[in-house]
Amino acid sequence: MRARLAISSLVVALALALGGSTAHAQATRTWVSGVGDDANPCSRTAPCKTFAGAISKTAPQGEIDVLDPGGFGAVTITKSITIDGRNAMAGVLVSGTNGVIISAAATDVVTLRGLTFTGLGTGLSAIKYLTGATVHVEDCVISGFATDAIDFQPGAGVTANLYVKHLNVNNNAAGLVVGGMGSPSVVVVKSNFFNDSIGLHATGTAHVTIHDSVFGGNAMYGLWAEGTAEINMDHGLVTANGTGVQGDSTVRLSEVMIGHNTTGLAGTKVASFGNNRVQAGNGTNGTPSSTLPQQ
Amino acid sequence: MPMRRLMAACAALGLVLGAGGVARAQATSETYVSGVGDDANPCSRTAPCKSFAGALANTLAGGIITVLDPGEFGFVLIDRAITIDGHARHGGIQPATAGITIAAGATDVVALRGLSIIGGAGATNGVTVMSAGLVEIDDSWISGFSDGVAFTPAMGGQLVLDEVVLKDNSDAGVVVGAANGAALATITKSRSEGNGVGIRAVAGGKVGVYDSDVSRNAAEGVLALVDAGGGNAEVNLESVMASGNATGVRAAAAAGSAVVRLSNVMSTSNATAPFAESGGGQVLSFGNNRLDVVPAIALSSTAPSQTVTAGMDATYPIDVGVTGLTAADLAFACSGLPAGASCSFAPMTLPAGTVSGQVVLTVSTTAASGNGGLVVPGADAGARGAASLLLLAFVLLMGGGFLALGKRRGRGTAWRPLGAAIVLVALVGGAAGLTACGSSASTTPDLSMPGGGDDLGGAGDMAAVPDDLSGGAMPTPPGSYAITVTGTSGQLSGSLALTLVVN
Repeated sequence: MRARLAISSLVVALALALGGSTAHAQATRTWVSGVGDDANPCSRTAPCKTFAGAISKTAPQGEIDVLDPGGFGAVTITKSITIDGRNAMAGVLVSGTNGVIISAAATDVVTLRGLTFTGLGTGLSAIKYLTGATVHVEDCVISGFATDAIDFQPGAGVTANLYVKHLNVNNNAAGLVVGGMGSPSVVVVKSNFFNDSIGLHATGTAHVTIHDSVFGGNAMYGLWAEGTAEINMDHGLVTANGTGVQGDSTVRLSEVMIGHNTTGLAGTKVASFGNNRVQAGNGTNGTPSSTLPQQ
Repeated sequence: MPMRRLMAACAALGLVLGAGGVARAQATSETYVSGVGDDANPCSRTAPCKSFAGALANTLAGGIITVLDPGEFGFVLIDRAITIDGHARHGGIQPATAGITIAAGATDVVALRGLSIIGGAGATNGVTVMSAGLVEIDDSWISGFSDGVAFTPAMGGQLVLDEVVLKDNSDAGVVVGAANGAALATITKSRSEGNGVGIRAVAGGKVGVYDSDVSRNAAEGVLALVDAGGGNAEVNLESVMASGNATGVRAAAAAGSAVVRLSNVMSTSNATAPFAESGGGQVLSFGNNRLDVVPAIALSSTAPSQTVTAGMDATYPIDVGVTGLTAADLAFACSGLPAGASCSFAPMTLPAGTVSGQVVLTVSTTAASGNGGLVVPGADAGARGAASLLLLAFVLLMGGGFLALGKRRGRGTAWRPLGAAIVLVALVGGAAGLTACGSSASTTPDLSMPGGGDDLGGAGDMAAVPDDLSGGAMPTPPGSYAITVTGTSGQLSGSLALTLVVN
């Protein structure tokens, strides 16, 4: 009898302990605040202090929301998650490390919204993808990283998607780097890439689609395609870069103004739909390698 | 008594801490300001400062000042790389004179985000950049100053305006230029409205504008302006609306060059003109813009009728006025010339974008001559060559025909193959002569297209050419001729009727 009581007590205690722990770990929506505390359960009334503190208490496919301004630090993501800072000024300020590392399962979807990444010139990459199915980056600002603003290079045999909307990237060694051994598919809309060494660098077999975006003041290249990568760009401005568009692999351009670059178009695989503006005050305008008919 | 002593001690400690806080410099990379903050605070998240200036003093170079809640954060002089971010709560400053002045290092990056910078009476500039590597202004509102953004760093640098509203600034929404070096600006998804000038590039300034609006400005929506001091100013416009200004887009250069390139620009309802050029300024079109003027080329001449003796040149000064934007060079041609006459224009073309210009038309005529007319006064080399070929062909035709048909006159038939060969050569040569006439562009007589003079007997009928040649030199017959001059740029053309009287 006593033994049974003891055992049942133990079971109850264990259940309570697990339950408590699960309640914290499995909330579908958690909160961080500039004045929070990671010892808190990350609830609306008792928010956490860091993304890293909150993510361990957030269920897969859940969401971490930012209550008020603050710096919420680096985080490694290993599951489907949304981090939404649009409600406030949500900062990720790092030096010498990566900002957000995405190391999720092959079917996981990760969404980052409304975040300001600051690398102070020494941060490695603001967003570094290792594994995962799909990454959404929206309404973010990324500046001052010594490697890449976003490093999206899936491993061999991996097909992965990156969707970028309303991203402002500036002053990084490279802005958006896509490629790797796998098959990355990338869509970029309404985004700006300013004053990086390279605005967008597509390698490997990456397929990149860009709409309504600006590449300006990038020291080496505004856009650069290598390997067997493809970049398609419709509507936008490529201005004041070293070389505006370097097409060592296929780049197709439509309705793009390429002006005030040291060199406008370069490389042997820049295709124009005949509706771009290249005679626009580049040091050397360059010419498309081929012209594709509009039909 | 002990209580009072304790309070005094606390006060002293507070003072020491406060003083230490200000002097200190436990500056960090992340600082905060709040409408209810205090500059005596360390500007931390839990103890925010009250002003941008106070926070800047506590922020390391490359750091970020974040606005916690709404407030008035005052004038600030930025002397290092910094980000001020009011996205969360849209931080505001309402300075008495200048808003934000940036005098940072040559490679420093300064970012201003989510700010409302509002000037009042006597305000100078919203953001003044004296030196910096890059200044990036995002998602901000700047109104009520002389210049909203004055980006004229002496040694150049880069400026980015992204989703910025520049409104009701009396001089300009944004000014870009550099006395030395290049000031490169990119403006995207922004609005510059109700200012004196929306966007003004001055010497040293190169501006790229995308997906933006420059409307309702008192003078120009966009202006590239170079004064007598010289230099270059350029603005590239892609997908821009310019409406309701005095002038939509203007390029003016007293010296050096001022260029505005337009692509997908809609310039309409501007009080004076959709675009204008002055001095050496050029407004260049990619041919895909929408203006509310009907494009036209108007030609006129102060001396539309000339009388010459055959063999002399007639010159006509022609004024060219273009309404609307031309994307292709203006080329000129004439028709209705009499036989033996050719026309040429100097200059041959006027550049695309020309609003007004002048060319001189020279019509060269050919005198009747019995000496073969190998030298045609006033005719260009192409016409002379063609005339020579035709003459040679004619002579050969006559001679060869004589030999080939000589048998009837009792000559040996051995000469007949030679005669036939000469006839063949003559025909080929004649054809070449005619082709040369037709292919020498506007500088040759338009023999292949003699139309336009249908009411005038001598107006270049091909059938009459051999008859004329029998006279020796394709002379220009006396008479009065109606000549039509046509100016063409792309799909656009205009014409002018002139009179040539040949005695």
